[in-house]
Amino acid sequence: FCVDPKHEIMGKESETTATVRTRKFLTNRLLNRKQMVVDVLHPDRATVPKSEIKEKLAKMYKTTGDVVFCFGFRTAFGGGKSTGFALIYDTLDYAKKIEPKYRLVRQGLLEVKKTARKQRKERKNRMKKARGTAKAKLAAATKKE
Amino acid sequence: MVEDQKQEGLSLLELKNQSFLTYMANLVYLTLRKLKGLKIEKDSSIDRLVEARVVLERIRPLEDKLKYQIDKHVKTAADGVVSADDTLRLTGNLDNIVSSSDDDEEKEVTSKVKKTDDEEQKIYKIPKITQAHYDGEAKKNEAKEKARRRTLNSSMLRDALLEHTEDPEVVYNNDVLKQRAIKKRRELEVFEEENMIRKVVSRRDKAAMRQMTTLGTMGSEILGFNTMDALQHDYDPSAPAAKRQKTGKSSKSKGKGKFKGKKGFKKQKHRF
Repeated sequence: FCVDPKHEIMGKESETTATVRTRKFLTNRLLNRKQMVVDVLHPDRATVPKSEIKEKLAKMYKTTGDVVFCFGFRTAFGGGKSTGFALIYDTLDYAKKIEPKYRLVRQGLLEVKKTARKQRKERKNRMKKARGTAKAKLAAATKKE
Repeated sequence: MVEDQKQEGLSLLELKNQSFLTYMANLVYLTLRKLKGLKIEKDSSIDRLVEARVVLERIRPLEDKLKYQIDKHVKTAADGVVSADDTLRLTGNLDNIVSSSDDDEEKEVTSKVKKTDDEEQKIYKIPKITQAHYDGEAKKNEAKEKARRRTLNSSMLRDALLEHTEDPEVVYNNDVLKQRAIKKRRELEVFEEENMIRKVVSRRDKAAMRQMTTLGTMGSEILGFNTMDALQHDYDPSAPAAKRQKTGKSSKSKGKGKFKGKKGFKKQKHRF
């Protein structure tokens, strides 16, 4: 039983295994990353979560899981196969510089502080009542309350 | 004759004339020899012939480039008068150039120039880089022909003509509309994988894609309808298609003698 370097068979989490295969592999030297199309075969199983795929890819390419970003997974009609994309960065620094913010948030590397929607709307309504320099004062006063 | 022009170099036409002459002379010589029954093998005149031939062939493209000028000059020489639309005559008039030392005149000129500039900026003028071919009449006829060909080759007419031919009926498995949908989907897939991005497909497009490729769709078997308008003599492809006029009485209500329409059908059934 030898493991084909392009395949990785998952086992313990569920009854049936899922196979992760990569296609269209490309080393992008300009952005310091490797990009590929990922095919996941998972018969008798729901769509595999991104975290699992991330771990498997990290193992395949001998890196840690935090520089692997996968996204865009779409399951084919009827189930059993999903296709998505994955990017594996050289270092975490490059990843933080290059990846778009929302993907970093998904991975947990970035935190976006957001005031509650209701608060933002109330602030906007308060600002509507003021005009000119008074408005600027009000804006500064109510900032991030 | 050749020597007095050697100061400026050998004229191309002179060279052409001389090489033609040598060619003709040598050719005649060889023909005479053959007529007398003598051998022409390894004769030096063959070398001269070959040389003259090569020179002539090399001159030909150069002459092609000068053709227009030569023709013009020949025509001028023949007519004795320079032709009216000779472009060499249309040079600028040096007296019309205004000297820059005159101040008042300059202001006038610049103001006029500005006005026309403004006007010109409003009107979009197509940049003239190369001459564009204008079709005009030919295009209209072509469109008519094309429309005619399309209806003649349509699946509807083909099905209708099947009963009149003795050829075996060939059933093709390629459904045009389905193939188009499949092709579109494939294109999208390729694009997405190339650029590592998921394109947002609108709900309508998504539904259309899904519907076309399902096994149950009839595709072009049912949906390909063509009107017979293009086969008429007075067909004008640019005119909008005429809508069918709604008549006051439809033909169904006229069921006098013949058994047409709903009631007519019932009557027919009764007979049996």
